[in-house]
Amino acid sequence: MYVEPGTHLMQGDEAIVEGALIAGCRFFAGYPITPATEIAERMSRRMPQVGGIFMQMEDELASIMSIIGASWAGRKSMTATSGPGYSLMQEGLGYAIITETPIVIVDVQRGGPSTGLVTLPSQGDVMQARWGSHGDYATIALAPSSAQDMFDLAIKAFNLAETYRNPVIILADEVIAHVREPVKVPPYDEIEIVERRKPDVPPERYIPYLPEPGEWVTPMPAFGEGYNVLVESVMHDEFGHRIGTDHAAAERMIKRLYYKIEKNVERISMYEERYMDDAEVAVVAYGSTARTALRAVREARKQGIRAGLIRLITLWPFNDRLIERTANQVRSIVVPEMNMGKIVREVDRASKGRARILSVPKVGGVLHHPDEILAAIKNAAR
Amino acid sequence: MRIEVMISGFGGQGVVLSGAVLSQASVLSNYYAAATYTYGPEARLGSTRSEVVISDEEIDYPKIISPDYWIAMNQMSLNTFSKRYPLDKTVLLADSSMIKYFGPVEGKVRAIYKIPATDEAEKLGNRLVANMLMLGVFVTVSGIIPLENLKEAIRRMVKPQFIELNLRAVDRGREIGRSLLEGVKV
Repeated sequence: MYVEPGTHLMQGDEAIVEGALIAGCRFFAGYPITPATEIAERMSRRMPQVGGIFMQMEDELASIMSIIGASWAGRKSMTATSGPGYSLMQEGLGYAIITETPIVIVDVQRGGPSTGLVTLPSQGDVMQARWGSHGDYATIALAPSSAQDMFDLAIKAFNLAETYRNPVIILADEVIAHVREPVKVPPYDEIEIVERRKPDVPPERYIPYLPEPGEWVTPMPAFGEGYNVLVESVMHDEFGHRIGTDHAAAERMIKRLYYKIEKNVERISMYEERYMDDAEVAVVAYGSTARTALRAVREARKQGIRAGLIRLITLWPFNDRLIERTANQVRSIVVPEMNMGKIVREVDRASKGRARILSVPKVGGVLHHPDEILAAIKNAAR
Repeated sequence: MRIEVMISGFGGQGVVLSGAVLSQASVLSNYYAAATYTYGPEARLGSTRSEVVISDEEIDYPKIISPDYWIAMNQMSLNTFSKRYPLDKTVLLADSSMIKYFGPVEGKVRAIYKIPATDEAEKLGNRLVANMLMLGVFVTVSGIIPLENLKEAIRRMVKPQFIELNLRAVDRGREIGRSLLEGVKV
C-alpha cells in the first residue's frame, strides 16, 4: 500500500505524494500545472490503491474548495499547484483559515509574474505564502531542499495542519520538484503521525470555536457526526454565530487565528545549521538555493573564511529569535534567494541592525552559481 | 568524488529519460545521484538538458559546474553550452549523426568521441534509442558504472515493450565504446 521502507530513487514530486499518503492523506483535488503536474499524476494512480479519492477539478478555485470540503468530511486532504494556480487559490486559502480547516497546499514555484517562466524554478511566492489572502491571519509555510525533504515535509505539513487547524503550504520549486535522487523511507512505526482530534463531549455541549484553557484550537468533528457546526466565512464568535458588530468577539477571533501560529513559532520552526559554531559570516537560505549556498560555504571554508549556513525549513511563521541570535554571533548575513530579495527583508528586520545584511537576488529561472554566493560571502567577510 | 554528466539535445531525443536512467544506474552502483532537467514549454524540439551529478557523498549543488562528461545529441546544444561552461576537464561524447561541426568545442574539451548514435540506432530499428546507445558508450568510456546496473536501470524505468530494444542499444554502445577506447587515449 505504501512505499516500502528503504531507499528509493524518486523525483521530488513523487516523494511528496508518498509522504502525504503515509501521513494519511486520502483526498486529493487538483488541476495539473507544470512543474507540479507529476504530483497530480502520481496521486491519480496511488489514491485508488490506498482507498482514497483523486479528483481532477475544473480549476484551482474548485481544487482548494473541494479539499476544504473533504477535510470537513473527515479526510486529510491536499492540493498541488504552481504560482498561477496558487494565485487563484488565495480566496479559498482565506476561507480555510477563518473556518480553521486543516489542509495542505503544495506550491511548486516557477518563474512569474503571471504565466511567466513555465518550466523554470523560482522562489518568487514566498511573500505570497505569508500575505497572499486578504485580512489578518498567519500561515505555516515549509521549504523543502531535496526529494527527501519533499517526503519528510509532506508528513510534517499534515501534522502541523492537524495540530493548528490551519492550512500548511509547502513551498517547493521546480528544481526540488523534478530532482531525481535517493529518498530514505523509515520504518512506518518510526514516523510520527498526528491524527485529527475529535470532540469528546456530546454534541449539545460542543462549542465549535472555544478552545479549552491552555489550548489554541478546538477538536474538529466531521460533517455527519452529529455536531452542529456552522462552517462560515463571515466572522463568527466562539459558537460559530455570525458576528454583526460585536467588535470584541471579532477581535478575539482574529487574535486567536493569528496567535495560534505566531505564539508557537518555537514549536513550528524547523531549521538546519551547518558550520555555524565558529562562523563569522552566515548564509541564510532555503529551498534549492540552500544547496547552492552549502556548496559556497564549503568553498569559502576551503579558502579560510569562517562561513556557516542556516537553512530555513520553516519560512512562516518567521523565526525572529533564530535570526537575532545569529546576528549577535556573526558580522554579516548573506541571503541568496531566487527572487529580487524577499526573505532578506525579514532577516534584516529580525537582525535589528546587529549584522550587515547582504541580499543576493537571482531571477530568470536558474539557480545561483555557487561562485555568485561565494563572492557575496567574501564580500561579507571583509 | 563528484562526477558531473550533462546530456543535451532537443525534446524527443530522450534526454530526460536518459538522465533518469543514469541516476538510477548510479544509485544501483551505490553512489548518490541527483538528476535535474531543463526544458522549455514545447512538447518537442525545444532545447532539453539533463544534469546528473554522481557522488560518493551527499550532493549539495545539484547542477553542473563543469561537466566531466558531456553527451551532446544535437548541434544547437553543442553550440550553446560550449560557451556556458568551463570545459577543460570535459570528455565529450557527441552524436556525430546529428553534429557535423565541432568548431565550438575543438581545443576546448579534454577529448572528443564522435559516435554516429542516431544512425546506429536506426540500424537497430529505431532512432529513438540513440540516447541509450550513448549511455552504453558512456559507461564503457567512463568506467564508473557497471554495464549490468545500467541495464537494470533500463528494466526498471523503460516501458516494458521497449526494454529489449533499449538493451540492444546499450550493447551496441558498449561495442562502440570499446573500439573508441582502443583507438583513442583519454
